[in-house]
Amino acid sequence: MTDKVRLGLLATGVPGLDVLLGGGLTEYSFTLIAGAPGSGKTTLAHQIMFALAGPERRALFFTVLGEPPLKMLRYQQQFSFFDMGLVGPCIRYVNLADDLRAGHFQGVLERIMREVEDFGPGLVFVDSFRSVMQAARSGNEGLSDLQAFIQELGSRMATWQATTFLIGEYSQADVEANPIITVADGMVTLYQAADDNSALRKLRVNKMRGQGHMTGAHTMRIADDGIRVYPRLLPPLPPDLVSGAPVDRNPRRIPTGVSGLDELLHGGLPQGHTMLVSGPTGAGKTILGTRFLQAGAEIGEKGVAVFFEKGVARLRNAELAALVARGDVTVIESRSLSLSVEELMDEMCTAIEKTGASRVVIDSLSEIGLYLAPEVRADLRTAVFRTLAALSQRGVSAVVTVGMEDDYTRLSFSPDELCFLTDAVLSMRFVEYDGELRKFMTVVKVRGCDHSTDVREYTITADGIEVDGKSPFLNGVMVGRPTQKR
Amino acid sequence: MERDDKERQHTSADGKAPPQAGPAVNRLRPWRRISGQLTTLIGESGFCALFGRALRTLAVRYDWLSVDATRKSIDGLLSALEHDLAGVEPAVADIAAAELLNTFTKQLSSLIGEALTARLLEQATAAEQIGPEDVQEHK
Repeated sequence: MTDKVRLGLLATGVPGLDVLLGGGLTEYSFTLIAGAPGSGKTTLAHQIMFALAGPERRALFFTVLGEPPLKMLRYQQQFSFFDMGLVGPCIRYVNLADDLRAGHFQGVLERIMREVEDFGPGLVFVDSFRSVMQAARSGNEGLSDLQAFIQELGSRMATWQATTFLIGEYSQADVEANPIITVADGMVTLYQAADDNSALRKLRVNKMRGQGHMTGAHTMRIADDGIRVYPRLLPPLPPDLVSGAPVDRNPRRIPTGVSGLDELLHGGLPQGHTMLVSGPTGAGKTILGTRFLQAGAEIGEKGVAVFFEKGVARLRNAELAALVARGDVTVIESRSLSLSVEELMDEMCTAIEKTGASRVVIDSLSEIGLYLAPEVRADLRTAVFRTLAALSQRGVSAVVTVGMEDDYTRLSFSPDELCFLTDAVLSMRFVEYDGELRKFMTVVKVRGCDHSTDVREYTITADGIEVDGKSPFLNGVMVGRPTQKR
Repeated sequence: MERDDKERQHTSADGKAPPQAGPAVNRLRPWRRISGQLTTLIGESGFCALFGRALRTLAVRYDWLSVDATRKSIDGLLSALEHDLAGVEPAVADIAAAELLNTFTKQLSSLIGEALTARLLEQATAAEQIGPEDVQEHK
């Protein structure tokens, strides 16, 4: 039992935002939503308002001199969260432009209070507050009056027990030097991080009094259903992987679709493992990925194929097309060249959950960089790490391909140290011998499980990948120096 | 223009009728409610702009409707409308008033959609049914 006041937390209705806020929005708080035009401030405010407003908690949305109210309603109603039924009885829009033009903050404040007393809201929004500030600079009343006005507004709204939001076109620099921030209990900044003709939307919680909120910038996106924030967090571990849970020493093995590879893996890929398949162009990585999905379909397992290859290449993959046509595989293909890893994960995880897929193929990590926004591309390893963590959390088995272009004289298994991120690694190599380009593969690792260490020759035929059942007659194939065994 | 000609046949020779203050005031009653409702949302200037556009659209057919872009207050606009309606045959005034409301509604609908327009105007109608004394106007 404690006599400390408990802060009521409100669920904002913005996926991911409550995690950043430290559990939700503090009731009766005074929060500043800041950002440049087009950053999503008004949409964020509306999404929160429509999530929280109801007969027991009504909302007053004051518009000042920003976006014209009719246009705001025209565009905001396009979002799925905009519930027409709430407008009127639970949500009221009030325009303060005329009051502000009259030139006195006191008059604006009194108007706000009149509306508040009349409607009795639990939520109050003022959009946009920048215009109030500009009025202060150009009018007779100075900045100190504005600060007093905001102080007074915050104080009155708190007394009224209204959770209040000020929305304004502030940049980060504006806000840090602004007296408003000292008055506000919370502050959320939205912006677009531009890099090399590409921009990623970001959201940052600068301040949230009384709560351990997450710091830093987090990717967000605006779609038909509104804003979704992607906290920079790994997904929680699945129950069987949490500390203290017994370790399964003999996980179920699943067929890869290449029987010779299953032999090398001593019975197939351990269920729930991710396997990196690395090799040069033409080594058969995509064929192996397709066989993996086919093998799943044969035993009733659904699959998701995340393709970063050129669209035409996929269209030529008749076997994959057949799997898709039968509904066994869902293909995810981005047409955006400014993709964030969060969007990719979101789409992939949604497809997994929607179809109940237990197999995923990502083909290939070599091309993923062409699709990712420059900021993400610069840290491909983190992007892959987060994607694989999302797969692991769902317990799906995955084949992830990556192209390798080297001189084949080093025992290298992947670019960017990606081989450390997966549970298993299959290395595929070309060797020129006796006037012929021959293909070889070896299983480099399978975490926690036994596997063959043999190097095997394989061929690509109309039936797929056929692995030779015996060790090759050559030594040194993995380091590009083949010599005949004695 | 044919339609305008037909409509004019219902009026007296000069197209005008002696002013009739009572009915004209009733014709304005919905406008007072709607303006009260919408001014809260879009401000007086916003309402005047919308109303002015509807008036201008309709004035093509009813040239006795006075359009004056300098009118910036709801009272000024409605007084002028009241005067204009009072100056024509009651039947024509009724039709014009209804068409003005219809034009205004359509123009608002094209901006914010039929559903939201209906919702906002429904609230104005509800306020109308409760009666002027029972409802607080928002200006």
